[in-house]
Amino acid sequence: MDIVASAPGIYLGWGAVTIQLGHLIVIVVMLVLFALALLLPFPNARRRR
Amino acid sequence: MSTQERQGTQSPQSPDSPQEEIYTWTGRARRWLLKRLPPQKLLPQDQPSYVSSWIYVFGMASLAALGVVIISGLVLSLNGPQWYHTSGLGHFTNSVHLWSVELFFLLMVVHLWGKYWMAAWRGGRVLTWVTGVIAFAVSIAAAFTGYLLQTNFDSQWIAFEGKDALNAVGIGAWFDVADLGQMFAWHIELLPIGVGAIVVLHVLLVRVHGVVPPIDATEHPWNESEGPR
Repeated sequence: MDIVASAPGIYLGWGAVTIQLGHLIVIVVMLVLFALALLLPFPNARRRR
Repeated sequence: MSTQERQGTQSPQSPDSPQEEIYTWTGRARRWLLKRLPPQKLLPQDQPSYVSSWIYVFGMASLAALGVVIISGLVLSLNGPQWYHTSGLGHFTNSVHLWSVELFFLLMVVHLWGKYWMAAWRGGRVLTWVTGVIAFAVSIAAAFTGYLLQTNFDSQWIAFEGKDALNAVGIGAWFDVADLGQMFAWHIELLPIGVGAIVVLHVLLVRVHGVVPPIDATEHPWNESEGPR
């Protein structure tokens, strides 16, 4: 708890853009999930029409 | 009463049965509901083949995450802050509540992207899209009030950063982020009812209009007139 409460967080910046590492990770995970959902084949379910 | 008579009096009639005279608002409501959402559409056994894609999984996955949010939230509210701030199981349940919310938003955003890029408002599905947008917005408000209830320096910082903005738009009196009791009411009563109601409406509209086909696929007849089999 103390660690979470007192941790300042890691911030990444490129010029005017600043983003917290945790937020960046969540956005990247969502983009990867979206890409995989489009590319990966869906397992054939029983009695699919 | 004989068995035959009892069967005769209890025989079900279809909503469009010519024998049944509709003369009350409840009868008219039943006829309208059964026409818009017959049981076969409400609980279909099969889905069109284009639903066999991972991108169609994220709506249901969001609902599953919301289920965990609601159940863990119920446990937290029944046991109270003294429990979830001090006991090990309380901390764990608190964390389950937080992370299921994180997962709910993550899955909902991928669901939103998928539906946006397949223009899911096609085929008379505008209300389905609109209720999804409202569900997202109300969920953000619900999550915001949740962060205020951490009762730590983080929540104090978030409250007083948000207070100026809420006062500036003129709703600070009714949505006072510095009033812990009021935020509890918003977070565990009003906003969950709002999210729950709009999500139920969203799912019912998906059932009424059917799952949206990909852009290059034709509308499945189940979605339109025949109904699923």
